[in-house]
Amino acid sequence: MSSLATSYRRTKVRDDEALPSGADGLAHDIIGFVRRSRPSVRIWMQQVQEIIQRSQDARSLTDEQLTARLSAHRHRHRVSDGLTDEMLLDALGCIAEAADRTLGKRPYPVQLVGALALHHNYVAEMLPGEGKTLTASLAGVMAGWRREPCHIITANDYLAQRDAELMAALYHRCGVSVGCVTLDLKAEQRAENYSKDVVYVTSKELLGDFLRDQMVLDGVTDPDRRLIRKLSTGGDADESRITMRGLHTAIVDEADSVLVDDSTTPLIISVPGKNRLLKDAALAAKVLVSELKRDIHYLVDDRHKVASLTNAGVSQIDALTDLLPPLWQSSQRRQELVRQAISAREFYHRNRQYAVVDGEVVIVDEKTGRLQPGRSWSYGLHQAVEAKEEVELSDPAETHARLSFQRFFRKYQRLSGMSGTLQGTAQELWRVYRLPVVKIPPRVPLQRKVLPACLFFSKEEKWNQVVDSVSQHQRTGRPVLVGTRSIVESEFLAQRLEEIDIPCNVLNALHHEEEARIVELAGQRGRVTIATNMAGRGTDILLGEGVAHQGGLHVIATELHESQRVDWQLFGRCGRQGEPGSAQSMVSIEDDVISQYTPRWLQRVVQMAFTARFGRLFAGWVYARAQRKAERYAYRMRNRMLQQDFLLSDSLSFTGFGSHSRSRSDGESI
Amino acid sequence: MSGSVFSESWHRVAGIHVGLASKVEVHKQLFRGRQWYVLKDPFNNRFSRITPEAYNFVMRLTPEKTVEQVWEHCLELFPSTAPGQEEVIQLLSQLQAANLLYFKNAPDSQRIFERYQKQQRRELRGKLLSFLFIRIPLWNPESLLRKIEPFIRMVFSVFGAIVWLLVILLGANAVAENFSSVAEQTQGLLAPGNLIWLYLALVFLKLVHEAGHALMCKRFGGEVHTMGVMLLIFTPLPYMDASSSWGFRNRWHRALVGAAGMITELFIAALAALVWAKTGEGTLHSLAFNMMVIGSISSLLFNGNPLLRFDAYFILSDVLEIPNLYQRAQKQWIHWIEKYLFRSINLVPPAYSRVEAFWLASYGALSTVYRLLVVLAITLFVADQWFLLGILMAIISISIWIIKPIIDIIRYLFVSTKLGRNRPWAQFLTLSALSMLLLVLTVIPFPHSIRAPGIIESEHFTNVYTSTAGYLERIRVESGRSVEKGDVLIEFINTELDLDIRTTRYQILETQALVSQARNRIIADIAPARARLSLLKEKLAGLEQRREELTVRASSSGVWIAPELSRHRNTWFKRRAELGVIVASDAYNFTAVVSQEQASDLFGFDNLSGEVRLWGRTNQPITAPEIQVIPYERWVLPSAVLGWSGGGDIAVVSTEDGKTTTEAFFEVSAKFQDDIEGMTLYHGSSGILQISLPPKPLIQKWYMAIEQVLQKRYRL
Repeated sequence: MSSLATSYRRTKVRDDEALPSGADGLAHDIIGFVRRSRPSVRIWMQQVQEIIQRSQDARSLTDEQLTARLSAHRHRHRVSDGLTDEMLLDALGCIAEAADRTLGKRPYPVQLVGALALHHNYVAEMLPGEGKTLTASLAGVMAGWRREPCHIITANDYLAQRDAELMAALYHRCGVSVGCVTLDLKAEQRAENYSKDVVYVTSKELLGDFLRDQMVLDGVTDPDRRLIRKLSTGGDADESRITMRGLHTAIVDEADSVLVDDSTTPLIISVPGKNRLLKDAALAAKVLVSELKRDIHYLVDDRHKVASLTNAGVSQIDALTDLLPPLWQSSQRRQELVRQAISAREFYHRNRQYAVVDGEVVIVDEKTGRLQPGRSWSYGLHQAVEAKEEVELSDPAETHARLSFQRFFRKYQRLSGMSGTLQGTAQELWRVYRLPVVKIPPRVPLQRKVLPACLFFSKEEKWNQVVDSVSQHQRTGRPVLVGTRSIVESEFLAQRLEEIDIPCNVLNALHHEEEARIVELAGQRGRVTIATNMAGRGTDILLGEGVAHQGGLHVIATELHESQRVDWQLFGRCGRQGEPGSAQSMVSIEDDVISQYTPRWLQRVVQMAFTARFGRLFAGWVYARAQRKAERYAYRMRNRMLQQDFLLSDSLSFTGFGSHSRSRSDGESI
Repeated sequence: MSGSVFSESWHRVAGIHVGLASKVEVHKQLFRGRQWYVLKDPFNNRFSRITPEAYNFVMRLTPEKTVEQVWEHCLELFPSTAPGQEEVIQLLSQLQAANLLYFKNAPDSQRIFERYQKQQRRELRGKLLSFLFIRIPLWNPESLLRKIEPFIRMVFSVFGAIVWLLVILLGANAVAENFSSVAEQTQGLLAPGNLIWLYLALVFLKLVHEAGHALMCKRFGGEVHTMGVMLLIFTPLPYMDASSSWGFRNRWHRALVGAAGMITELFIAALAALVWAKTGEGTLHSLAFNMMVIGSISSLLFNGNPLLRFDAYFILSDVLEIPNLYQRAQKQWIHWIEKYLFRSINLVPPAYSRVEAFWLASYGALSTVYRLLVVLAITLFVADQWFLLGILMAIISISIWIIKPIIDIIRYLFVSTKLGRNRPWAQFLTLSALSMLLLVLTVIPFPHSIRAPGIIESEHFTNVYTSTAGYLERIRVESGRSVEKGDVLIEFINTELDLDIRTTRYQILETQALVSQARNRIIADIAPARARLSLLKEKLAGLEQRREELTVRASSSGVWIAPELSRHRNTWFKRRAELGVIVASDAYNFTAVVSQEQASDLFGFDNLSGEVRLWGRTNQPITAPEIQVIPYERWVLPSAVLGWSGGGDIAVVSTEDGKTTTEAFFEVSAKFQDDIEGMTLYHGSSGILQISLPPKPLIQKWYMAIEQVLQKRYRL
């Protein structure tokens, strides 16, 4: 009986309906605004007093008595009907006591408030270092009690494993099984882990497994239909290959990164496919494009990453058509091909967007600064970049299944999250996921000092000042962390510092093996660390002996990002958990954000006015404006992707999931 | 050919086994010299057209092979024209949406069902929005049509065409011969008593009309599966669905099916004309008349007009070989705006050639304007009959024609994915165009004036009337001559009066005799006889005075103007009949008539000025520097010339003098400037007074005009 129920629920997935639009959208926005402005936190703060009271009372219980109470709560959650606030508070009190007995950690009020927020399907904005791991497991226990699958999404495999192990004792004490899924697990192990009540997993693994299951199921997720199909065809072979058991509760750590920034990149399950045509075309296009000159044959729009051909360019291509394979000889197609080759040349730069490692083009994630081996750009573009770098062309990946994280997380019935940096995402989180954001007041006042930004006219001046500033702080013995936007810049700065004999460690995608060691040292006295965005989320820099006395870690941002949140992540490396620290940004009006998101005339005005009395003030405003524009642009693009995704899947609904009778080889790679 | 060669969504279709459904019929058609393949779903008579390149791919689709295999095969066969992956995906979803595909494995039926429901909802909404034309299908006439097919072939033949032409000519002849009574009877067409006949005639004719489509469609091998009732402005009328004719290869056949309705209707109208001409007053006569009018005029007016989406529209679209003319016409305009104003890139033009673009664009412009006018007219018409319904219609029309487009534009500008990096530019352009328009409408003042009809009146003039009735005998002074005071103008004779005078004289003699008798005999009788005598003498004096007045003299010096008089020689003039005027000076005024609404605009201005343009001399405006509104309501015009019966624009009660108006008006008096060069003014000539008012923005003017219309028509 129970096996049928389990089997029934196994593929239960909420249908993600399209975004509300028009008047509905407006109403939706208003509801979101109301939900966000409700005084939930104040109510929870009062409730937390009650919880603490109960957990204090529970101290006197014997282990058996506590177990009995926990198991009573578990059964009540299992049925989940008529769950009153009273019971919820008592349950949390018991879990808090259990945490104290198993982990030796009694949850802080902040963590309990966080747990309540998660339980009520909010996104909790918690400062870094407030103990989100414990917060998540408090909510995880309650979700696990329901026996419906609860996924806790972590930033990386390491954290998934660490957290699962760290919290295992608490879960077991509360009668909840816990598992974790990481890259290196085999399918059976994955299934085993997914069968646990609470699973720690990265979003990538999760979506990958989901997609593989979908391929097995041929996209039939509705349990009724699936069972009918199973009965009618009689076969059960496929079912055994399903690893997951439906999507129910998800608690997303670093919610802004998972649900906002990276949400539009689709996860693609693909195998390398032989595509001679495309390779030939990419090579031919490269030769053809080498004949074209920027601003004569084509125009470039840096902000939108669009290249358009001029008339001269079109006729030049016409003249060289014979170089191309026949498939590309029609005028539309050859122009598309050429545009792609131009894009590869103009918008994709070595050691910024990608690195060449062992004769292979490897993408660098612009937000985390990490290498992304195995990932590739869309059809043709990757080959065009490879052709440019004159490395061997890889086989284009042949897509077998794809889904964006955005749509994936909308399929959960209960979604909640946590993050330290949620600035400016509240509206989007509500619109897309119906997630209200609440800010949870910090446990200890923040000791981080953010110094006013330094604005410079040219990059040259900026780097000079960065070098000066680094040497100054280093002399006082404080550790310094300098953030750069690209690998190129990090190497450049390292070289400058070497020249004046300041030793430094460079943390970028090219040195990622040394990451753990570099991070470990970064908080030591007088240490200078230059890092790309790799030193962002989840990087915990522990201060060395006596460093706190000198003022803690000093962080310098050398350029602002297209999203303020990424800047704050870097700043968040200092002043963690009430430690002292300071941060400052040093930027110039030649930075990419300005040149891409400011109209040319305004750039000129800023340049002319820079030396005037209010010139810097004005430049500061322009900088902030450019960043706002960039954020809005990114938001729009995400929105558009989601809409297009819906349109596409709507018009392609007839194809089912689309993996009919294609080779379901085990060589699938992500 | 558009779209990438490789698509990231390819995996969705690559592995499916799919073929064209066996029911699909394929026709090759030429549209404007270009080959197309038209795929027809015979179950619902829907058509999709695809290019030959696409067809090359589609025809090779078979459930035996995967889409990918077929596509690769196509690439080998036609490396340069084979559709790219993205095109294949578009093509397949287009065909799937039209329900033309057969899947080997059952596709996601749940999604398809959802989609079907969504489509149903959309269709229902479309129906509700076009609430003026609701169709309710009732019956399938196909089997009946099949049975009578031989008969149809007989009727719709060359012989039939000759008969048709003959009857039409005869009918036209009958109408031409009795044209005057046609005009007369038309007046009574909308009389309440005739409405029921009118409607019956309409239903009968529409039935014939629709049958015409259906029969003609059958004649060329089409099928007709639906017949039902259409609610045209809430009036139930029959309709039939002959859309299977769209699959005909010959465009003239298609056009003929479209025209068949009008052909049959005209035929009936011609027959009715013959009946009407041969019958006298009676039910048959008026029924025939109704049929004649509806069958010809209304048929040609609605169905013969390609700007409305009735028959002629489809005929035009067939003849031009541009399917979906209306929708694509709108797209053409949008395309031009996107291309030339917003400078969007990577656009796919809706037209395949310049000529087609021309047709599309001109059709789009004309039909939009025309539709707006028709909607406006219908709304006003309905509002006149049932006010509340009219308001409702106006609200719905406004939301469809004004609010929805505005929302669409806003959505397009701010949300839609069609605009890319040119979004700011498009927004800027639209906003500036809008603000320019607003500026022109609300801020920039436009010359504002009121036009009022009126006549010239001399400042000092004397009307000359008859004091005594009589026959006009002699005109002593011709009209236009100057006269001195006391000059004899006209002489009348009145023989009755002469007779009276003679009788009275004799009576006086008689009474005088009586007086002298009485003096001798009965002294007492003297007093009454004398009294009578003096009475008779008084009467005589009076009569002689009246005879004297038969000679009309100038009461003042001036110019004698009586242009009409010479036509009335020897006619009887009543007492106080108007004869003419003696215009005494060179100073003239222009007396004009303004409506109450116009007058309310004029009050409150102290020094109004304007221009007068006289009929026949409109190119020589005369300045009128001083204009005064006489502030009391009048009902009698200064001259009959201004009223309807005199050829003017002002509604008058049909009385003898033609001067009493149906609505009160105000009089405006304008003084001319002192010296008018080269212009002789005549008392009584009519013209238009244009009163300049301070300039006003257009929106204010329109608002006032609309307000006045509402006030006048609906007493709001």
